[in-house]
Amino acid sequence: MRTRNAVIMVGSALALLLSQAVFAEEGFFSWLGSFSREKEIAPVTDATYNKECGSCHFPFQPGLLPEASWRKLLDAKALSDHFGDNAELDDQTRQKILDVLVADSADKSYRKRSRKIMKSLGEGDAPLRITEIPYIKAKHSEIPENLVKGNPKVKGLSFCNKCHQKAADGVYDDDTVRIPGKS
Amino acid sequence: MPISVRSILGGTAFAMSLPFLASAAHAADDQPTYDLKSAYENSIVIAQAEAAAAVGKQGGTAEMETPFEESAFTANKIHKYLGIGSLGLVGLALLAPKEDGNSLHHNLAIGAATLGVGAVATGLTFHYKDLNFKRLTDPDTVHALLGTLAAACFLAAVSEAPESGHPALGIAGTVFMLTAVKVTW
Repeated sequence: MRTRNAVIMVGSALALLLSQAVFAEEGFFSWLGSFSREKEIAPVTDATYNKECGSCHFPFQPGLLPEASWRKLLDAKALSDHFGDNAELDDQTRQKILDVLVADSADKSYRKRSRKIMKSLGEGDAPLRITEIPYIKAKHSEIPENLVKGNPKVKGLSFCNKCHQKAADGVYDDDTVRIPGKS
Repeated sequence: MPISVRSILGGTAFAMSLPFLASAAHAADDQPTYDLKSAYENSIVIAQAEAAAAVGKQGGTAEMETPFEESAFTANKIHKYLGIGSLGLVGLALLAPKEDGNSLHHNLAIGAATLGVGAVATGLTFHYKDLNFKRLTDPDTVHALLGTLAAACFLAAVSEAPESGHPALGIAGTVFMLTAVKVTW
């Protein structure tokens, strides 16, 4: 009986330690005491970011890429050729947007999906495309091409909100997926 | 076979069938045939069915512009309800008077174990692709390990009751299940 109780105690301690390792950055006790749901990606509410970036494409949440990626993307020179388009911004706006993105980047977030993104990347990896992240690639690997690239209502994986109906809220779970039909 | 084990097995089989029943219920609502899969996989099935329908129509379109409504009963949600339900029942079992025999405490504990095993079974069935055993600090993997440990503790507690060691197993199971839920909350 004593042995079994000892095993239970050690097991419980290990369970708590393991969960602490999962959320090490946030602080174990603040995490344990928090009742807010932090499963998905932190939504982005900054008006400047939504206006400047969201006017051309879906405003991807900062928690979808690590800080190093955002720094590369928001580099003044890089913005002049932003995936084939000129997306130059004045220095003040660019710095403001960079600050927003860096503050909630995937490597700083304890949200589950951001953590999954970071765990799938190698040390120092800084992909420029969200669709290059191994976790994102794996999650979409079984979707037939004709439903994404070959689907005029979707066009590509970078149009997150076409299928993820709550993408704007940072919710990317399976329950909120609806792939538009192909006409 | 003891009655508690039979109850747990029966209850788990029922819990496992819930996602499939939910999927079948959706199939009645939608024209494209649903397979017994998650909402995400069903979405792929629907889109494929619509694409096929569009090809069949000359110059026509297969529009699906109805507002999106999230279903309350998906495989993911049933897994969640089972896990939280097991925690609720174990909480009630802890509060119920501890009497020998077929008591409220005993029945609530059997219910908690059943829902716990059901939660593990549905989780492993519908989320096995999210697990990563190469990285044990992966939140989903930790969630699965703790949930499985919790269900095992609940089962052991029910099978050992009313011996004096069973409360420790029940409490350990509660700690594991609480932590499992919290890790992916």
